[in-house]
Amino acid sequence: MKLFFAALLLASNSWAFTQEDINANIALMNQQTQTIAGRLNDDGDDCDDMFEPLPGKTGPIEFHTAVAAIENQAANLQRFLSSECMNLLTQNLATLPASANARTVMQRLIDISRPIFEDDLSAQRACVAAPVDFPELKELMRSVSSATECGSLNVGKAKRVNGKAPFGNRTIDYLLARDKPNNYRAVLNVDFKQNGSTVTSAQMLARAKGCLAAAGGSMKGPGGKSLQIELLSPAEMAASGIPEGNRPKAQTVNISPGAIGSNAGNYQENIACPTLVHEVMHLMGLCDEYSGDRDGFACRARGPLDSVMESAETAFARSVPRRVTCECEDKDLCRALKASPANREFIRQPRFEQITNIRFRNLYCKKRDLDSDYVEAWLKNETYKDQTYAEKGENTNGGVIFREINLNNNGQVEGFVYTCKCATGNIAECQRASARLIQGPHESVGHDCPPHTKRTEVTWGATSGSGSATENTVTFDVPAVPGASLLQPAHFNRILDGTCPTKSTRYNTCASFAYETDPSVCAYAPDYCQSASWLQEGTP
Amino acid sequence: MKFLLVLLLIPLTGQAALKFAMERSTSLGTDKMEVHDEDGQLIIKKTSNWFDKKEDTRLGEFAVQNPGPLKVVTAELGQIESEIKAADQRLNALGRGFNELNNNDKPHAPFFRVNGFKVQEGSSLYGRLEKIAEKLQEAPLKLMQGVELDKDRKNYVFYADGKEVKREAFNARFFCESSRFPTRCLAREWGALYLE
Repeated sequence: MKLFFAALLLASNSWAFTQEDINANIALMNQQTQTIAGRLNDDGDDCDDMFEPLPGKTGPIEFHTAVAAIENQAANLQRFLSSECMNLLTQNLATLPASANARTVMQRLIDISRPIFEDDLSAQRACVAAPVDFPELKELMRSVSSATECGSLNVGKAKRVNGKAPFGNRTIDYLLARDKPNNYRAVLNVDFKQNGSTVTSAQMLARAKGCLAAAGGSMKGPGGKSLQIELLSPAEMAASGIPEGNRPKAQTVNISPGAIGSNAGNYQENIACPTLVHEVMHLMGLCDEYSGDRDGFACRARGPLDSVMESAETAFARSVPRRVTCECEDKDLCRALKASPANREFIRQPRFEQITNIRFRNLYCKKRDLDSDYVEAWLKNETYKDQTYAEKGENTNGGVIFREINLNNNGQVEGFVYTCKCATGNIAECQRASARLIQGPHESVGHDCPPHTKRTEVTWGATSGSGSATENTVTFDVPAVPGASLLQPAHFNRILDGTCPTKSTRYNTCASFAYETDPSVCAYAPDYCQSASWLQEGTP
Repeated sequence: MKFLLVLLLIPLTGQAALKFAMERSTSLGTDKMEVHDEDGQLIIKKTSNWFDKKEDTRLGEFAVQNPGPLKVVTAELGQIESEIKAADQRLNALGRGFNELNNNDKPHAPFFRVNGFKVQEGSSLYGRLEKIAEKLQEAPLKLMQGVELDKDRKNYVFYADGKEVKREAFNARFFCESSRFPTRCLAREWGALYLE
């Protein structure tokens, strides 16, 4: 019963209540309920007895006043609870032992969350037509809603995007501003929660802001448009001067330490820009695009490897320039680099582990040393001007043999050979990656630092100046791939189109399957969701 | 949330199979500690050390060596499963289902799975499942099929039928997101190790 009453109280101007207030109100409502139940159990039919005043906060209150207040609280659920909270509350109410009261509240919550419009994707998939009692009213509601959601944003104006994400059971809420004809800005209200970590919420917010600022030049859309994303803490949002009605509600982002005390805790505390930006994109309504097979998401539409929602690390590596500082495993190597510009130039060409991502290497490739005779011949062979060489491998089923020469810890030349076979797993993906290694050009999508060095520092964003080397470190710039964008065209348009039901239709359709667990539903997914074209929607 | 999920190979005679897992979805794979039923026996599969309470660099299929204390835990799990099924039936009567009401607002948050039912943080059942997982961490596990990163971090040691079958040199630059610890490393087909 506590859960039941807490639900009613939760929605009623919840920001005006402290936890003490809520507990006190729960106790009061329990008392009122028990009083009513007691009266109902009595055999008498006297209305005066039934409608005696009930206990109130500051003294007895009229029976009908108390009943109206309870009903008012229930009505407030519709206005204040997000769809996520409604789902959770309904689920939790269902776990209560069979209770008519719980059932009543559950029914009410379910009725609130049922789709209104006939073109709800869930209804379509279930071949269930929404009730068509008042078609004219529905059409009017649809038109009014569309005008607000779907109208173009004029230059210098802003609007709040607030509603259901395309993939259901998720609310999006951000302010979208059009600062210049082709320049857009999205503002989110984010509350980072650090559970037991040594990194504070403020530090994490600062880190996220830095990442988004650095990535700002890389979020490009069709037709030369660009997007900046701005994060504000709840306090910053309150002080921002943004009109109250336009202020997005705070959304919680948990960057908690992992389950492992000694293993994942520090990993989480060092969470990198790509992961942070990926999480922010979820807040803006973008769904995951990596394989859902392992998680039971049978119908998920895949994205290309350089999509921030498929592999954030790869997308970042391609599209966001940075300056990196790499520490040598052995000082002899850095001394050799410092002493000779030719040596620094020798290591500049990215090697295998810099141009492949971790998943490809792990699933398909093996590494071994090149013997010294081979390396010597390589150095003498004038046709081998580069430090890497890739070719189709025999018996690799469309894989690749990749050879490279490097500087070892002593500054001497060494060599490795990587054999990648496309025999199992996603063979087509393996073959595509292998073909790119053979044909080029090679993009830095893996480690930033050369072999036998480790990245100690990265400054995301465009930089200027030349690289340098010390006795311990070497510093250089990693440029973005020309023309690369952190966002696919459909991502960009989806963010601008917000909750408009008649825009970004391909993205919305495919995204609606991203977390579907029933394989039989996959048949409703259009064919275009299985090709890369769904993310190109809106490309001129 | 620090857990090491430890389970038994217990023949379940006259009892429905119980499947329990802790999971977390990432772009590089699913971090999972799972118990499932194969021909009446419980199999433990670990694809990540993410949920471990103490250091353990083994991934794969395990046998539990001291199953005794876990009978109480599996009974409690059975009770929770019954409660979820009852909740699902109540929701079905109203045109909804338990899993259907799970939210997608935290796609990468850990959750529990009890015989196909997904229990997310915020559920009234989550705390009880956390306690169950904590209780299960005491029994030692024997790796039957899988991989172990040796203590020196020089080799991946692969196991079949409880015995070492081959080794592969471990190179952090090749297998890991970063050459510098802490980082996440992939271990061939067996999953991911989070290394400090």
